[in-house]
Amino acid sequence: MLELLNYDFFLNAVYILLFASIVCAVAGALIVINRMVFLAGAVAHAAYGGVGLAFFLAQPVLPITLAFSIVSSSAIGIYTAKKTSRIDSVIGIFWALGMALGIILIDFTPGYKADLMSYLFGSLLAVSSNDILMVVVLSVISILFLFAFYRQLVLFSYDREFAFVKGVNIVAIHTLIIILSAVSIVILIKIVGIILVIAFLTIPQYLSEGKTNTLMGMILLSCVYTICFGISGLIFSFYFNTTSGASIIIIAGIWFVVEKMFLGIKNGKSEKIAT
Amino acid sequence: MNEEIVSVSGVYFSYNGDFVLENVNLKVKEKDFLMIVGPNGGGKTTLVKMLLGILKPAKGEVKVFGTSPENVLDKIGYVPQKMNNVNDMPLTVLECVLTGLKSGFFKIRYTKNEIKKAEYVLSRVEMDKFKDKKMSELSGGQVQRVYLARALISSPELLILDEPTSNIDPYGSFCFFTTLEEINREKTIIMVTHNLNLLATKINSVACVNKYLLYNDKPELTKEMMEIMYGIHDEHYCSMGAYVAEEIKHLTKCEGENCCHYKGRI
Ligand SMILES: Nc1ncnc2c1ncn2[C@@H]1O[C@H](COP(=O)(O)OP(=O)(O)OP(=O)(O)O)[C@@H](O)[C@H]1O
Ligand SMILES: [Mg+2]
Repeated sequence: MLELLNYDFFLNAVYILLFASIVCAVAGALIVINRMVFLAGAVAHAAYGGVGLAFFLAQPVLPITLAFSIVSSSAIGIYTAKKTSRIDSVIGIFWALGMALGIILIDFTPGYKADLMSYLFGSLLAVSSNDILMVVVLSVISILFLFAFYRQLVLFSYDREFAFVKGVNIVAIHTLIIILSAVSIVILIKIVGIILVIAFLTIPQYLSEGKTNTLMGMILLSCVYTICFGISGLIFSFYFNTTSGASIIIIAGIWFVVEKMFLGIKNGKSEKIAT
Repeated sequence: MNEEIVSVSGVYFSYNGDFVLENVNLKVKEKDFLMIVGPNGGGKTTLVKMLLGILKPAKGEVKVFGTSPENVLDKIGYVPQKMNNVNDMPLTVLECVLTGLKSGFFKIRYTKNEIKKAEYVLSRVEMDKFKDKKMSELSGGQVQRVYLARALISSPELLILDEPTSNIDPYGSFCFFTTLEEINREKTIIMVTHNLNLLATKINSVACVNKYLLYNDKPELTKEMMEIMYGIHDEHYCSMGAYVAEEIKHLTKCEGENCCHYKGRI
């Protein structure tokens, strides 16, 4: 297996996974504890609008998608920060609108669009050094974000109203969490693709949540899970010649089922019925 | 002394259309212990949220410590009513209490001093044994105790509690109120509650909210309050009202027989 380390494309994939796992662990933990999974789904699919825009303008895809997603997620964030009723319908509209925009823009783009599929399903084995640089910068930014606002994030996630009373800027924190999700999603587009993004932002976090008592613990643990899933998925895809993104998600999913079954039996936990 | 802590004048509020509060006036002085009563949906929580700046009046003015609430949030401790916003995220009792402190930036670890403070306020609500438990594993009453500790940790000058004992057992709430009485020696307290037994003791003034607000600077319910709250002194009688009347009769020295008709929200 060690011979894999001789391949540059494999090493690049490992590097990008290591740094991406930081961004994804931070964003994913905040998404999961704030019950924003659906919101993150909308951001992910709206990102396709950015992919379309990049094709249409014939510009590099990741930077354009990143800019597009930051703008659209800020709008989603500010709009959803204070509303509580029917918020899911509004999010659903964003979801479809971004996707539709992407499809139309690509329709308008002449020529053959061979690598379009790679944005839907990821292309972990075709990582450039620019991609790695971008992910490193973004992971530093997300660590700074986490450290700077840690107490606000805990307070906000647990009880928004009380956070407001404690002087936390609710709209700002809510919007920043969504922007961070957008950033992590754009990175993940490279790794697992738009379609599978959500699994990567929720499975590791969900598995970590019950095993720790703090938000920081949850983030660190999901970072470890993300790296393990990522690298084993990568190796799997190499030996079985499968799509890397889907292989990673399958491994995460299988592990999720195994762990849930195993832990359920070990602790002899009673099943909760409803609610 | 006797500085005016809260002043609400001519306040109207509506969520969407109809006024939930109309022409509400209220003054709370330093070291008062005001009890706010009223039927479900009467507007108590709405009033409390205006005192905290969470909601803004449609008309009129809310001043706390002589300014608008947002400017003085540091001096206010708040124990919310809502229990359904409880999140099952990983959070220990101790850390939950610590979130009551000012957040600040680039602070992840809590200092020894902060932890000591948190342990002290937890012991005041008899929850120090549970400090390492997860919030999501506590019972409803235990959560409310932790919320009181979370409000106390910042040493607020004004404590606002919205039905803090709705889930606490009778002996527990007796202790809870005794703690509040102690706290009241130094701090002003505004508390929404349905526990009318308190009228006899701890508190020193009552406000009754049911769209309108009636105020009494003695710890007694007036006849007008009974009228707007429960419609007592109606000729009609209902079994629901009979129970309320029994409960209330000895507290208000209501003489009338079979005089109750539960009216509820106006
Ligand atoms: N977010 C909201 N949107 C619309 N109407 C609301 C909202 N919150 C409360 N109301 C309405 O405002 C009125 C007052 O509600 P409020 O929560 O202030 O009552 P309360 O006196 O605290 O009642 P309870 O004793 O049940 O806590 C109610 O009729 C309620 O239906
Ligand atoms: Mg209420």
